[in-house]
Amino acid sequence: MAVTTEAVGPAPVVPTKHFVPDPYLDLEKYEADADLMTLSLGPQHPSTHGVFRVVLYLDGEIIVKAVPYCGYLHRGVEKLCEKLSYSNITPILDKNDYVSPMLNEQAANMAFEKLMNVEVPLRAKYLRTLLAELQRIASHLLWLGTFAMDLGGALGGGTSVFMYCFRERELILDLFEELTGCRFHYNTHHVGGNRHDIPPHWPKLVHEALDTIEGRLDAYLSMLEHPIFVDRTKGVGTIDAQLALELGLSGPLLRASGIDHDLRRDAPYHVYDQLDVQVAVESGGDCLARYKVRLAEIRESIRLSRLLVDNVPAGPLSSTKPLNMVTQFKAAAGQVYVGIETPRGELGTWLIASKDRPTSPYRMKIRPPSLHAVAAVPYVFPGHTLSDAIAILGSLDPIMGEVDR
Amino acid sequence: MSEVNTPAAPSAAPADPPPSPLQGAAAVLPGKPVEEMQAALAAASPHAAERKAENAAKQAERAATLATLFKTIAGVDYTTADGGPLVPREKHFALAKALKDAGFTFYVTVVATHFLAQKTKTGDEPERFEVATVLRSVGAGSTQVAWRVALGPGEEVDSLVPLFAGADWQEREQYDLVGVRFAGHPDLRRLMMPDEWEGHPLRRDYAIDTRCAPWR
Repeated sequence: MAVTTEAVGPAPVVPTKHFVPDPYLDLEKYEADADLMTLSLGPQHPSTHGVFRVVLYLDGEIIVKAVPYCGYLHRGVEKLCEKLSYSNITPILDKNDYVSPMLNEQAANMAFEKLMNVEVPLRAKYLRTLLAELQRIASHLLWLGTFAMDLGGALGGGTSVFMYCFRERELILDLFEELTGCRFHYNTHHVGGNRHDIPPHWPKLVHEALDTIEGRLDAYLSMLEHPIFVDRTKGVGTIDAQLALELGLSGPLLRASGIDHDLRRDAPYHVYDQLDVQVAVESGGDCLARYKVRLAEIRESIRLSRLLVDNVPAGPLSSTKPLNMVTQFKAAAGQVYVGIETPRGELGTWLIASKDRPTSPYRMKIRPPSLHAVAAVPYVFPGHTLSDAIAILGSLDPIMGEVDR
Repeated sequence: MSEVNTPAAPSAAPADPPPSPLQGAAAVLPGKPVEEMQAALAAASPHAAERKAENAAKQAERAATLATLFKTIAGVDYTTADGGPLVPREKHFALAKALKDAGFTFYVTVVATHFLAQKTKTGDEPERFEVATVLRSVGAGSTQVAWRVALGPGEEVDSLVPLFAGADWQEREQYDLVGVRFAGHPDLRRLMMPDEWEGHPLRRDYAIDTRCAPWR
């Protein structure tokens, strides 16, 4: 069923007295229509994508103030990294953003390589680009499924889309399992290259999986682009370009607000400088725009993956010996920052090495894109109903493992 | 630098029998010849060269802006080495404001680091903190800029929340974990640790197995 998304849907939400874009709003001075109700949402609420708590102050059904709390998943990863050797840090970082672990490994290892001045062979750069794009598809598919489930029965099928999306994500995970032996926590990157090479039959499997996903994607769109879906998402959770930049939002959130920025194209790393990355930009800034941007990114990643998997160059996969020498990597004293584009935006690593202990970082700071997405909650929730708040939180796609670290 | 970090010289022919995937360094693995691969990519990406030139031009332009701004406002030479230049504490906010006006509108991160007092051959180094800030320009030729501010124990650095709302949680996190205070922050509370937590875990003198209340 093809329904035009233009004709239906409510007019965009106009600012009302409920809508005060101030996270530090003084409720004493707020004139409520009814008694203000305080509602603590989370930390064990299924729609909070992990353990995240937000205290909502409701005037009738409308949120006037939202105060988020995080830290429930704080594991002290940065402190732990100060004790571990460079080759032992990678598997720890897989657990940060557990929906796109490949990108977490890459972000850290690129920082290590920059500080140690280690060259990465072309074949490894290729493989990293390909893995990043496949991981982007898997990550966005998981987001689409959980977002559809957050919107709930409105889609006429409850958890149908969720189940379908997980089925497709499984295809990507199978590819990774074939390559690395693991489904989630790969540990396939190390300083100077990759650990696991492409098996001879793997490119064929990639093509098959991508064909299946692409074919089924259209079926989801016909299920999703339904008047009720558009009603629930259009004009909901609008973030304008100015606010998105101010808040430090990145990735699909920034592009859905009309800002044309993608590190893959604008500050290329790996082999992105040899590719035409088509960046999807929407001007709406609402949940529907974020949905459209992510869908366009899945299609673009499918195109790039097909191109890359057909053209893997011959050559070595690593410039260093990956195994059996746990403390081999030594960094000279210095500080670097490296940022890459993950499915959620800019994931950065600030790394400090000292000459006293060259085998592990002196300080390592991870810049998680989801932290900024969660910090946007007090600016976006006010003026919406509780049910819309769930849709907005889903569209922001925060991963709490990454926020809290 | 240890010997293993030097790139291995590629050998001439593919190994026979096919190398193990875990062999690493020396093995040349089979695939397309590099020239053929690059031609295939270029055919599929007609605008890549154009984009490369555009990015390079923009980055050169930004680099010139950075050199001027750091010289005129902070009185230091801009460098990308070693995490950026050290900027006087009182110039921190003015520099950030000028950079924002010059197009570095994307707030990336703030990193506070604790350095313990040390005895060295050249003299005693006192305990100190460093706060590094990273900003980025948006769009083609995106350029990152980083600079550092040195602080003594108990000294504060200006908060950037009035310029970038996104600095709010990042600065709260650094206050929580490292204990650096940001002057002018509207709501400097702990972010990760519980409110009643004692100490700042990411300080160098905070042992990783420190027991927490009420068990300590």
